[in-house]
Amino acid sequence: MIEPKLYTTQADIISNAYRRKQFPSVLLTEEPLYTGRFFITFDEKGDTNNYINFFENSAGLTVATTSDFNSVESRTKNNLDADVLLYENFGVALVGTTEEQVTELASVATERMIIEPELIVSVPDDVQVGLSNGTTWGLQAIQLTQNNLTGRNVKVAILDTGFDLNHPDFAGREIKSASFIPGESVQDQHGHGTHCTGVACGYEDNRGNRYGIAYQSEIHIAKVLNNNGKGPQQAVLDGIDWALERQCKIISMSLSSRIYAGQGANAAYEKASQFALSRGSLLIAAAGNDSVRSQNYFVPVSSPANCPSVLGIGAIDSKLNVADFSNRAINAGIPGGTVDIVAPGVDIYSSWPMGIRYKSISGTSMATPHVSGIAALIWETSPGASPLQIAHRLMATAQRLTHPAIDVGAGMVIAP
Amino acid sequence: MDTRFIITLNDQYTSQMSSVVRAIADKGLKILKTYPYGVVIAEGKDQAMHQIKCMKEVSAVDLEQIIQLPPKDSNIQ
Repeated sequence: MIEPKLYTTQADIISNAYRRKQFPSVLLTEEPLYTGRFFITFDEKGDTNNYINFFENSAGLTVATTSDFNSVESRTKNNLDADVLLYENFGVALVGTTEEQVTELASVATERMIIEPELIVSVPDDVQVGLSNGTTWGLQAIQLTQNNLTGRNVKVAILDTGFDLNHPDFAGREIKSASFIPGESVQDQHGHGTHCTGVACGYEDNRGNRYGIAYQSEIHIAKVLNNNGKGPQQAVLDGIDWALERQCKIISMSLSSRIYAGQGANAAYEKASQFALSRGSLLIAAAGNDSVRSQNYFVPVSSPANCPSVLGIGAIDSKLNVADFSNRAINAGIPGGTVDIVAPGVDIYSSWPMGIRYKSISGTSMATPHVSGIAALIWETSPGASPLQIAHRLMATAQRLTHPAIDVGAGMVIAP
Repeated sequence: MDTRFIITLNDQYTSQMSSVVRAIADKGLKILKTYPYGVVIAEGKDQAMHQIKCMKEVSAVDLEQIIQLPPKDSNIQ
């Protein structure tokens, strides 16, 4: 049997007359869809010898049947010499031969046969793009796997939509929490907070795939956004206050309010951040997702990431390009407003409230907890460091990227 | 309808929070929350904003920001 051929371009696929006739709606893609082999399904299960005769007499093909092999494994491992593998129990044949011969078969096929190209099968996109070699692409990119740091004894606050306190991946973890949303408990019914917490403070999924960074850090959850993802600035300030009372070293804020060109930093946020620095805490915030770079549309870094003393985080994809949505430092001449550093923020796999359990999503919200988690690891190595020293270290050790600083700041965060 | 303001004090007046807060309240604003680093959340009529801005103890008066994440089912968060 000939080896499967991958159709890698539209031209490959479109040139196949048989497929053009049968599957016109799936041609507009550059991803390979078919192996180049074909399945023939017989409408009614008939006599095996009749099927064999059909292939041998119609197109001169050699035929093997599943009963020729001792087991499924041996069938998979051994190369077949035949052009056709007949699955006798199903009334289905896998045909691997030249396109001319398949066309010839199609011409003599009766209505009792269905001829279809063999599809390439893969895991769903939301898992495939997020994981490789048991670790998310983001953690590999920031070189997390090259150290044994865990964030032990470092307190990390996540200001967000709360957290799924019953998530099994966090069983046994001590989690402090408070809700600053009247009438709503900490329990995350949005998902965003659980996802961000997973990246910064989680560890691995139920199949051993690692998605989290500071997995022995002390988690502090402040619910400052309601279950629809909305919250007032007061809730954020209250969350910062609460985190400072608990001496959290890192306050991770995957949240933002859009600002406009020429608009300065919010004075209250900057005051709160300065106060946090004086108390030994570092605020880390998402730069925002309002840009559409592919359409040449750029929006300035959002609030509170645009505060001079808050670390503003942009997002990059797995090719280390700036994410299409990631905001830009375009408020030149106004203090703050910079993208200080970037981190993986496209197709990021992490925890999600139970029922779904895991999800891959994108955003500077996902980039932010990458930096927060790495900050926790650095603090683990240098418990006496000041927040500014941690911030400087994050930027000094960042991997330089071939993009302007207004988009990526110092570059991509790298694990210690 | 009343508006919520975030009032930020000049650094040199942070240590005099209580007297500054009283002065803000005297201008007709309801004090909702104070933070020790010199930030006050207050509620009142829009017209009061200009009066508060003119106080020498105040460095900034902003409308309270609202954060809104994208819809739950959005792939970009």
